[in-house]
Amino acid sequence: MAAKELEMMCKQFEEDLVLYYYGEIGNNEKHKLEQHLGHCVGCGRFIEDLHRLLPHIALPEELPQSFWDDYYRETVAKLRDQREQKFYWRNLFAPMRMWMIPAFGTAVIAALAFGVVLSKGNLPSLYNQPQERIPREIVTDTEQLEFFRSLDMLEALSSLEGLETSKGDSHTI
Amino acid sequence: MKRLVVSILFSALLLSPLAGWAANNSDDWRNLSPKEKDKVLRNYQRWQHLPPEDKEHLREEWDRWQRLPQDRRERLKRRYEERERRDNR
Repeated sequence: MAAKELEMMCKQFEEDLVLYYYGEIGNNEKHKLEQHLGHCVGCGRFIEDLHRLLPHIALPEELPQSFWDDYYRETVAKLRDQREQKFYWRNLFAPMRMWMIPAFGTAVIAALAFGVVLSKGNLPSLYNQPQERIPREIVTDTEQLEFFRSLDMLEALSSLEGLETSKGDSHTI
Repeated sequence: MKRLVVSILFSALLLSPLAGWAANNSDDWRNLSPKEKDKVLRNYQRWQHLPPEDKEHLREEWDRWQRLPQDRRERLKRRYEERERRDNR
């Protein structure tokens, strides 16, 4: 807005005019500029505009050191939070010792494998059977299973053989 | 993280034969009919209360049974089943 209000000046003197306003121009340039200002209306008005407008432009507020200290602390804290959020899962394992992680993983996989193997995707049937009714030695040992399956017959084995022998004898006779 | 995944996979690999063994054995149990399962469980519970000499005798009978030729075992089995059916009538 202020720029629009500035009077048009000769482009080649623009920089020198600003330095002139702030009193930061060399003597030679100052002399040349003052000669130019004597006959250039546009540049004269431009200088007048600078005198009129620049004092109204507020200087930036000087912030105390404590503000910058707080700003630095907050920025560092935000960056740390961001980093921790990115790797939040690491904090879950932080209290564990390193060897516990593979041990825990192995235990979970073993439990899952046994769960799937024993239930074959039919978990409710596993729950429906009370554990004490399925002795482990029967479920896991084929020979034991066959033994308990044949127990009645084993008890009668001698008599069965006796019957067979007598039947064989009668056939022979 | 990479080391963790590798260690878990390695552990799973080591456990896989165990899982296969469990699968085969539990298949035997699962393939039994409810009636057969009931029989096995009943026999197991009965076995728990048998005197040691009876247990020993039955173990010997089992060893003898396993040494019998296949055809003889089948014949005896058939005979036993016939007798069972007759007794249940």
